[in-house]
Amino acid sequence: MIQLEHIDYDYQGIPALRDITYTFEMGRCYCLEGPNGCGKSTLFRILNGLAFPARGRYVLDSDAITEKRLRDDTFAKAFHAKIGYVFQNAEVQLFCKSVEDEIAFGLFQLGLPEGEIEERVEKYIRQLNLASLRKRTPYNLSGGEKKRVALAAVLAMDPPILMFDEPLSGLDEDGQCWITDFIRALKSTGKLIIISTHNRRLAGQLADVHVRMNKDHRIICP
Amino acid sequence: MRLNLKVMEMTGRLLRSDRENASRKPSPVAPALRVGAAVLCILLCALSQNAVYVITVIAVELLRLAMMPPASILRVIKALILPVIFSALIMLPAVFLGHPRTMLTVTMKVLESVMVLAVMNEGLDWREVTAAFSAFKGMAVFVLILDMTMRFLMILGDYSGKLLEAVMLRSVGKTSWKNAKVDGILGTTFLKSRQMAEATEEAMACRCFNGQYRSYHQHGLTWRDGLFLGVYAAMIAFFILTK
Repeated sequence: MIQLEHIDYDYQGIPALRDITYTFEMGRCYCLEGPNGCGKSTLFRILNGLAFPARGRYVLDSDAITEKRLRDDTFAKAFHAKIGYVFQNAEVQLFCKSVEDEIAFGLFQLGLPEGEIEERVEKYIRQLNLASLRKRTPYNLSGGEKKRVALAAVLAMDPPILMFDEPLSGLDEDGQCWITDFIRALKSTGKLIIISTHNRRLAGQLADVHVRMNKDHRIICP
Repeated sequence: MRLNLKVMEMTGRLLRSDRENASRKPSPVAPALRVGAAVLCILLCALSQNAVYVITVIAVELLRLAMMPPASILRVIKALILPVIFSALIMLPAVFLGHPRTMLTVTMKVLESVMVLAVMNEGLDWREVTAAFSAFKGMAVFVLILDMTMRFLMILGDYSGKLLEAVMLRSVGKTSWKNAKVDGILGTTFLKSRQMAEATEEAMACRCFNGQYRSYHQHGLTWRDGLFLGVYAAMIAFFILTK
């Protein structure tokens, strides 16, 4: 469970989030909606421990997440293992020399045994239809393929919380349908899913709860 | 200005090589073995005091070169011309001092070394060359950084190419204005590179990166690799025979 209490965040004096208080519960799918610049991506950065609020408290499973605590490598590793984050631009998320290396990257970091790493890599290569791409360099793939590789890399780590930043951006219609169906299927796994989008159709199809933000950088409709 | 154009030319070359190699099948022999064979070959030639060894290696490499496509042959020859002429010129005084064989030996060794590397470069993709390094323990992080650097060079090369196209479409005639814009393009590309580097660092942190890395696919030895090891043995045996 994620609890946010009175979170404020500024970019050098320019407000990005104002008094955000909200609780995300396990097993539900939340769609974070709002116009450009309302603070959705900033909220995602805070939830992933990539930025820290100027005021307020962020609690994940009864652990307060602070900059100081995330400097501890063991704590940071345990924290990041709980949250899988699929970036809006998959290009920056893919940095290994082949698709299978990309999927195995996070698993090596978790210190899993070789056999399990191999098993999971194979499982997600099959599940996301990546068999023909496994030796290819992610850089040379199409937008939809890159998205699938990024998804496989994140899902292979089996995090209980999944966050998608604009999952449909840069995809053609087939790719959009595929991602929508895939996330819908993920809902039955009991994971907490948070999707940032301004696509109302996607939100309508997937959300258990709609979380709306406005231009004042506040949550208006919990 | 000239430096900027050089940087763009280099990224352009990388991009071209990446596009050409995108659909290429991976090398059937472990890249580490091929790189190792090239290094061994150069080392043995450098140690060799018998011209027969060097000439034989040059003959074998020429044979390999002859079986390559014309574009590859041209690239290899281009890579050879400058170092061979340069070493011949440097060693020219030896002819007047009564040691013409020295000039010939050094020039041949330079020709052999550059040719071995150029021919190997034609047969291997740059990713395979970096993968060859990851076969050595403790080199995996170095290879990851090298791969990422190359990848960024290509992404940013592509990006600056698109910016150049945009400038070209908007410019009519004035050359000086176009040249001035090259600096602007490199500045924008630099800012973009910083943004991308930060985003990649965050992506790595999100996947629990703690400074350690291991490549997933360890290339086990196949029968082809076993055969290739025979090349090592043949090279060493021939070196001893001709010593």
